[in-house]
Amino acid sequence: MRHSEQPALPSSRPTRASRFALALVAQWEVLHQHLAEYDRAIGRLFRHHADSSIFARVPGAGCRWAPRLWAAWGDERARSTGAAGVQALAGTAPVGVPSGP
Amino acid sequence: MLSRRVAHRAAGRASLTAERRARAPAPAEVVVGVVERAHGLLMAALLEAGLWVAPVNPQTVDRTRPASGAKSAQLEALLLARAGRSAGPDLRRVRPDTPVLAELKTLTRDAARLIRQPTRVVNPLSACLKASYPVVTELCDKLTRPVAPAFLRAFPPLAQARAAREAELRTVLHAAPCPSSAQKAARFWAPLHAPQ
Repeated sequence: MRHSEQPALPSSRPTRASRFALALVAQWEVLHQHLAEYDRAIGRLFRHHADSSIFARVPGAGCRWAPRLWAAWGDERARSTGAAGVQALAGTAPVGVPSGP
Repeated sequence: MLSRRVAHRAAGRASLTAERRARAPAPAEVVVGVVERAHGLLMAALLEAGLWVAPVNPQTVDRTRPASGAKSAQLEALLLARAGRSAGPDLRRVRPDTPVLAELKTLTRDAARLIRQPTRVVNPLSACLKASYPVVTELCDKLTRPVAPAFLRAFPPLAQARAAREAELRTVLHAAPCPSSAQKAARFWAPLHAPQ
């Protein structure tokens, strides 16, 4: 068969790069789907707990961060004896660092 | 009294909690770890392993310190262990996580690991599109929004996107779904027909 007789490629055919991009998009969509499932499972557990209203009211926490705050803090009130302990847990407590040798 | 030193790393903490559980003479609920801090990684590891923990302020054992005032990690551990043994029932105990909280912790930890994964996909996707289909990166604010995948699926090669009418673009964007698809389709039109 001569070169000129070869059939032309259809214009709708994905290029090599767009095929690769579509493969990556498919991977991302699977990850996104699993993340959404995790969020739903976390939300379900969170909503059914008595403390959820406390953490849901924290300014800026939102539906994504409130369950994570609760998970980090825990439901044992005796664990922290005061605000300083909570600050230390959150990593916002000031820590003295000596500047000299 | 048994003396043992473990590294303050994940592996060390895991071996310590496993050993504590293995030595439990009765159900794990009665195993108490005495620590000198009421928070931190060691405390979290012991609680997650289902052990009760009694945080003890080191100042409470000061009177039992040697007259020389000597201090070392081993000596502190010994004094805390003695305090735990003698005053055990009176110590304030922090109970382990409830099953619901333990599950939530596991879920949030796994989700956090999963959240880092899309970067491994989005970065090569962005590089690929910038090199071969730059108009998509220009038109889509974020490649992780549904518009970019929908656009790529509908018009895999640039030629096909250029051949599409504005109404077709609008339909694809509307189905993505993309708010204000009509305005966006109009905004897509000019860059698509510009030289790439």
